[in-house]
Amino acid sequence: MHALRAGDERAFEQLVTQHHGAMVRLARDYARSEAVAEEVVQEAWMGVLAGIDKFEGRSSLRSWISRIVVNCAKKRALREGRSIPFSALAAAADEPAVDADRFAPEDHALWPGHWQSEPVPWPEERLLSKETSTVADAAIDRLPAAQRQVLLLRDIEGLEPADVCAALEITEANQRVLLHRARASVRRAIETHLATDADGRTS
Amino acid sequence: MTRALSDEFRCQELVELVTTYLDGAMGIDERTRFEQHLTYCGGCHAYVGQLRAQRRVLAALRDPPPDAAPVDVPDSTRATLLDAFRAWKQGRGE
Repeated sequence: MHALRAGDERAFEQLVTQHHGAMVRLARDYARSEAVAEEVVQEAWMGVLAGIDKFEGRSSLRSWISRIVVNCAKKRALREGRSIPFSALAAAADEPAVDADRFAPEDHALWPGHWQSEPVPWPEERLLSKETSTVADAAIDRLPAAQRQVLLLRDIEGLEPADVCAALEITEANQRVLLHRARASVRRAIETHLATDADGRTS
Repeated sequence: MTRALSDEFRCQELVELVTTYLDGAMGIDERTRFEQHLTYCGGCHAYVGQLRAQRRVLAALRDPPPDAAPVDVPDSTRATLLDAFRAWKQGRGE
């Protein structure tokens, strides 16, 4: 950060290499094409440079940058008449976090609504493998845009809930519903992946 | 899963509250009941554990390992940004 402020070109290049991909991924949900997403991110980099002297480090550099991206992306979408009503999308999502057939049915004599097919702890080694990362990444790509935005900002960019609400202009309740659905979908994908052994058999 | 008293969570309800719980956004009463449930329900305990583990998986996506292939920044973008950086530097009178 110090090197960057001092005008060190290498430090800037490093920053670009480190963040550019994640920034484009964030911008995509607002842009009508990959080219527009790239443009938005370039604009965001101008914003980063313009603000770097005033950045106080109250949030992480990463979360500060991602807020700039969301701002630029929203402005651009608005100019093109493509504003995205994330709060409306939050209300629509109403799927259970876990398939109903994993639980005992309503008429079960002893334990209605309790696990019939219990989740098991995930093995640490496979959890942190490249394959699991790839599975998680693909699951994120399949999420509806509003859920993906909240998940990326919260769980990858590391924003606080209040900052996500402000950036996306949604209520705290909406933010939580979107995050909840998003995390549940990613969890299901990881669970399915880990239940399959290296030879592709389901255990 | 050994008892099913009426004031206790069903597992099916609990899984819908995990995000609220992990965000620390639960009232004290609900939180207590939630944590009580976790002490005797292995399934829900494992479920919450999975979501905590998942946060680590996602956090790791943020910083790819040093041996990962360099992120693909188009050459034209890189050039444009470096130009912008030089202009920014000059603009500050350095």
